[in-house]
Amino acid sequence: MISYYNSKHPGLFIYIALVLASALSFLLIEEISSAQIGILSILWGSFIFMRILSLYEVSEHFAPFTSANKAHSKATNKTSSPLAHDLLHRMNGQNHMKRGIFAMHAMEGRSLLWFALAFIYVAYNFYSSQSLVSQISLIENFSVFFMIGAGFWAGQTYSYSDHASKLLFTVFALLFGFSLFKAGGSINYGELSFSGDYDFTILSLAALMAYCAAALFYSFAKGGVYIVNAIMGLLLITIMSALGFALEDSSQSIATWISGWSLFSIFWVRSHCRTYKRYVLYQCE
Amino acid sequence: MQNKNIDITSAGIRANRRGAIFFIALLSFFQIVMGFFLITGGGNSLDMASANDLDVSANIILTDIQPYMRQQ
Repeated sequence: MISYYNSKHPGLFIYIALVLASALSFLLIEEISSAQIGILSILWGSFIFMRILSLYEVSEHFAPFTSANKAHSKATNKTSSPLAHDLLHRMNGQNHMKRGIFAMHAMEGRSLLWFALAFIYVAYNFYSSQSLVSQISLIENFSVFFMIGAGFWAGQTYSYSDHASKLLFTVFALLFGFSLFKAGGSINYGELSFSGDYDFTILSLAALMAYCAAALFYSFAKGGVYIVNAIMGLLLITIMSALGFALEDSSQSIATWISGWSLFSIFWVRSHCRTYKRYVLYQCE
Repeated sequence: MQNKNIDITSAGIRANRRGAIFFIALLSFFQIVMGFFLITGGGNSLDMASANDLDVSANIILTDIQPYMRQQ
């Protein structure tokens, strides 16, 4: 069977290249054109489509094992395959799909709630600006939001792995630093005083940030080995919240958002404990 | 005697999220279409910014120039 998971991380390097390409093109190109954003959109869309196909394979592969008792007991399900085949199938599944199962954690309720909040922000942003800007600008804005969301989501599917997360952290931290350096001129420090009226757009962004901070604080409060990642994530979300208020709309700020959320995805995944334990009491009768 | 087992079965159930998979696939497909739309220039539709400019100049004619035209 041809499987995406037989090869070693083919998508990881494509993902890093895409984040680098999009952030650097927003940073370095003076006036980025619609066609350039279009090319980036097609690349991101194709990448996410391929990544989701690979996870679909994982999901479908594991579906028989998830329904209880089918794989174990011949008494309850006589139509299943013979035991030896079943065991081999399970072992192959374990080897090939372990990586995929971890990557599927990007679709947990915790992350889906993040996307729901982000969707409210994006939808209201479009609703309030649709009469002011052209159709092309709306599509460009949508593409930018898609890149930020895709960077955050795809980062989660890779950063469970120790090696991958170290690589992602190094690259994205450098990129985020560079973006901040380039976007330094467009930071409006007066906005940090939190005075004046805020519309629903800012409030929904604040809700998103507060949700991230609350989730990370929960991980922090639980303690354990994830505490360092939770602290790093909290620090980063604090910086990002300040930038959310202070950064003026520019292409540099878009690059900062892409690199910032991609960097944040590492701490988002690695600060969350997912090992669920079942305590079984064996008794002699 | 207490035995600790990692509950792989329930992890698998949580991982099996077809709805989310199909939604993300649909979104990425939509994004690819949008990308082509941006590259081709959006079918040469009328730019709203220039339409606003036209609107502004029409207003200038109506409010500022027309009274003088009537006087003459």
